[in-house]
Amino acid sequence: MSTLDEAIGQAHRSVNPLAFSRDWYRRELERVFRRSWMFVAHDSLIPSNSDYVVSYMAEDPVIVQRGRDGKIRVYLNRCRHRGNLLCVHDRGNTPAFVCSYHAWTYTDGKLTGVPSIRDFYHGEIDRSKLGLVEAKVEVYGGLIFACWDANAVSLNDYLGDGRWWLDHFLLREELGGLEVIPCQQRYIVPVNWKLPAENFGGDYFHFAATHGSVIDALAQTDDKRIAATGATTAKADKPHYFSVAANYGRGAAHGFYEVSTGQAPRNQELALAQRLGPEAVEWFHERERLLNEKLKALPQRPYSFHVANIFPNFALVGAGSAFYGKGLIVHHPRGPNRTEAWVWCAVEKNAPAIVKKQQRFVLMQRQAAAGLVAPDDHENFERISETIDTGVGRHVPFHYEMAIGHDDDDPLPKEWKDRPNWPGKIGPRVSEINQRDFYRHWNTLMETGDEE
Amino acid sequence: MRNDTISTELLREVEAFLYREARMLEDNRFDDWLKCFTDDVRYWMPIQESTDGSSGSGTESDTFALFDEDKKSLELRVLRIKTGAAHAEVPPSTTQRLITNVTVEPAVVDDSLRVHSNFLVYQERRGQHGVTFFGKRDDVFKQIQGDFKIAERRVDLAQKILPTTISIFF
Repeated sequence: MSTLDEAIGQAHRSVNPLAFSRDWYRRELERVFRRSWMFVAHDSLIPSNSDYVVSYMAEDPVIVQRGRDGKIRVYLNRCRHRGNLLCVHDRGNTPAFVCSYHAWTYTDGKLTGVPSIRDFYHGEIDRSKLGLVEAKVEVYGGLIFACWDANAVSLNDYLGDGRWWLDHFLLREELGGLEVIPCQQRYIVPVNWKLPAENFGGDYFHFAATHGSVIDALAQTDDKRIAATGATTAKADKPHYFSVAANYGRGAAHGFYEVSTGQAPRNQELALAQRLGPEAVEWFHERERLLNEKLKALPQRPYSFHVANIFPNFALVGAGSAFYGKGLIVHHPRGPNRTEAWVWCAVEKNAPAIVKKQQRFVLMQRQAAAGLVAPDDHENFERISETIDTGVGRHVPFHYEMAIGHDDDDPLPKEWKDRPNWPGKIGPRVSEINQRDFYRHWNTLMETGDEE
Repeated sequence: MRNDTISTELLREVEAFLYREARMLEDNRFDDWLKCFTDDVRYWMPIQESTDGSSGSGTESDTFALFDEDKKSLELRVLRIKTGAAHAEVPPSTTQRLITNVTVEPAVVDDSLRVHSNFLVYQERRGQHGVTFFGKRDDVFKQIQGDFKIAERRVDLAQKILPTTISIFF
């Protein structure tokens, strides 16, 4: 046991407990979210000129639109006149947004219409300075990212080591890439956004304790169509698993985990493909062949990663299986102890219809709003939140020190003669290296900056 | 009124079935609840979406949904709760269910019934967190050996942003 003083006095080398407090929340919006690249939408949702979807960058509503020139732009969803919300639909197609308050009108972000501009304003208004507030935009493999900071590094540099993992195991452009199916799930979790972010970024540790009921239930069902998907139960040939800290010790900290190797994940996937029929089997073999070809020079090709977090709040799930929809999840902050999760389902564009159907189903059934997995995480987060910002509780640090003296141990099996040179820092399957690095970058942002 | 073709007695029977079903869920009698459905049931919850212009709405099967289940996957959900380790239901949620606005129409194609109902479901967790779901259901009822079975249930929540993740049934 510890006295309160002892608990508070324990070295919290990684994370100050006030990181989760209302005191620091506003500063976080300024220093973390205003300076980071954030995922806002997928380009398959806006294929035609003037198509748009609405989204959020932290608390700020934005419009993501493909302009009349085909270029994707991201605007603050806010009229420059009185700050009224400009677009009230989830998605649609329009060349111009007309404000419902005084009918200021914007086309491709430019202020193109002010009612009776000569009579009321005597023509003395510089419309060129009153366009919508526009974020920087870059698209990576269909993923649209935006950033408010004019001085931010390029998205390529920001993703850094993460690009290799995204390219090969999520985006799969050699296969035709991803398409996002319309509609996204939205749900509230009463938790600070960083807890889901660090969970998706590296917390394999929680799987057994938090999600044991799923493993147990899957073991009892006779429905093999929905047997455990991905690497989680593949034990047959002792596959190896790892975590990856992208940009470790420098730059934006992106975490990937459940990186699988060996034949077992493939065998398990092939069995799932066989249940879906010859079309799925053929597609699966082609999917493997194309990636093997691309990575043939690499010893120990990973089968995939399964879960990831792109700093700060863009989570990924489902990459570990060809038959699991790719969950593109944003944990929007809604206060120090409140998060609004948005879940999009991406499917592999050139997959047979039967595979796409399965991908959609499996994502819904697992790490999604009403899945078998997310509600148990939610429950834990809700329990954590009860004392995260209380008078005493808020001063007692969490423990992020798992195997902290062993961060530089080599986790790769000794019997691997050819050492793969995978990008990023490779850690063991169960590790808190990624979480520590997440807060390393978060601290750097919080300690610098002159906004507020 | 299409309802003219349904007798008051049949309407009452359908309502009584819905109330019994709601009671099963309030009492956590999930195995009994599963028996309310045909083996080929589709039990699903689309996502509400507001669109303008040419984009579609969230009513088609090929859009993403909150869940889209069949009998086997519903059984898996029940198996999971029964492990006793599904934390979202440990201890079990308390739910109170108000089922209202029931209308019954004969289906066009066969002797099944189209049953519409509204609901308000209050869910309480550990005496700490209470959330309320509002919505409506469109069911297809089949009459099998003198009893009703639900062959399709579409649940439309009024809320676009769920107040919590879903670990209960509707």
